[in-house]
Amino acid sequence: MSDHRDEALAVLAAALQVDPGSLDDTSAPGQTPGWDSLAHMRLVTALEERFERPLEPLEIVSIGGIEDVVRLLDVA
Amino acid sequence: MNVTQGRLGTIVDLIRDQRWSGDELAREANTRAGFLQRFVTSDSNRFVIAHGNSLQFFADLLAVWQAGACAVCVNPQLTAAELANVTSFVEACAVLVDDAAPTSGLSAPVLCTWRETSKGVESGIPASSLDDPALILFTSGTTGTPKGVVHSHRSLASRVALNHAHIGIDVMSRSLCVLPTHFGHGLIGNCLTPLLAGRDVFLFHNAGMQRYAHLAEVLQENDITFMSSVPTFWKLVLRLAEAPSQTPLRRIHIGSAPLSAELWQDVIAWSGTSEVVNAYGITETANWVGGASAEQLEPEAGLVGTPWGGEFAVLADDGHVDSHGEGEVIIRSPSLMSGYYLQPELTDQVLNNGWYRTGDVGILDAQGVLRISGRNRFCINRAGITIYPEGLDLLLERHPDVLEACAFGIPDELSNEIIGIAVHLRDNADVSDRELIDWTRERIRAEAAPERLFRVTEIPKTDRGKINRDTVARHCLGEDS
Repeated sequence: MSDHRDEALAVLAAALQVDPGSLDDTSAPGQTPGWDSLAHMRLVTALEERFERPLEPLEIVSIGGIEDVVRLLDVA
Repeated sequence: MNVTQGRLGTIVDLIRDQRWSGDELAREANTRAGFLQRFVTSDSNRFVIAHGNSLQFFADLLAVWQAGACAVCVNPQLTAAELANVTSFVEACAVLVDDAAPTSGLSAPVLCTWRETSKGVESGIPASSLDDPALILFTSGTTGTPKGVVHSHRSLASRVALNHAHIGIDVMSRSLCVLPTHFGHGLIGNCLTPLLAGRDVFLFHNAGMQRYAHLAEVLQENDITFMSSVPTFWKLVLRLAEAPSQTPLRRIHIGSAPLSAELWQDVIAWSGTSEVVNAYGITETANWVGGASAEQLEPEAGLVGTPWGGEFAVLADDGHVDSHGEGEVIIRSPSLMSGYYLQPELTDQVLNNGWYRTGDVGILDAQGVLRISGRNRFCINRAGITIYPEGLDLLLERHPDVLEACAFGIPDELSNEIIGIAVHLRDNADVSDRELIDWTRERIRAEAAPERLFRVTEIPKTDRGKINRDTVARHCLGEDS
């Protein structure tokens, strides 16, 4: 399991303004309450601050769940 | 409003891949109207419509009007408690839902009309007059005393007719709606204005990041000529989507939140049309009541332009109404609301001698061009949605550990403002910030829930004992000197 899973959960939970414990592998944009376009861009902003670089459009739209956030953190 | 008398445009749901021609929509509405008339009583003809952004929503809305009744369009994301509160407050004769809406604990029958149409009969001539209430939209207070803006058939028809006259009908021949339909901007401006002129509407609300990233293709494939949205939408699109190679767009409106000159220019560059309009409108005016196009005026922050019917004026400090100068912006228009539902005192505070007090501060020049320079109310504008902080204060103060609360807007690059709230807790309170925010989110729709919470030992007051939200915000954000 990736070392970045807890961090991914924390970043996503902060963007969605929910408890990290309420998120799981099925959490997804448009399906998980609160994960709307605004929350998605909040997540993007948080990741960009973490990476100190802007995300590419393809990276932004490819985030479809926690695993994608973990993957971005893994390769950062 | 008799939907069989006019020609409706086609309505297309791009998310669910469904469409009805104008004739199909009118037929569906007419059949449902016959069914809905059975639920109208001598005490209430108010139908809460608790779903939106679909063909079914427009069939229900037009059916309610065809039945001579009043539609109360609410946010489908209301919590069950909020929906119950609104339903009770308006003494609804029924609540119209789709499959997804919560249905427990309501004080009125819950109907899913598309499943009931076999029981319907064609309705007769609507029993309403032009000045009867046609539409109620809530701008705040779904947890306490709701603030419901009431529009008559006359004010809505006036707004739509004035939009046709000032915008033009052909330019809206194929209109994309990315806004929610419980929102005056989305419903009256973006959808009803073209639909009631026989022009086509394409629903594309909450489409998701993947689809927004391909907005150019959506515009080109559907030959979209017009769209309206809020600044936040364009901040997303400009990050995600490539510009269309050949734009079908002939006009774009941006409204409901402050538009910077830079974003205005960026949208012009992306879209390939200079007919990009900073549209000014308020739910109380049935939305768009004026606007400035980059075709006529150089984009600048706060530029509103001239009224589309009616007139703008400013209220001087001494209460004098001036045709130019600086002061609170007031509006006279045939599209003004009748008032706030069951709140005559609140209505009197904003409607006076035919003028509506906007709460915005502006400068009106001798040519009648309006520029908004600020606000004198403390409402929070989160991505185009107006949140009244007083309601949040009262909600948090219902929590057993909270003595006092004060909500305020925090500037935000993406959303314009996010919601902060200062809380003064009781001694020995044992509650975490997360628990307080979660408690709030269980009771109020997500868009109105605070995002940042600040613990304070007291809520600062003025020397007259009143809360000054600016002072509280500066204190919480560490900006007080």
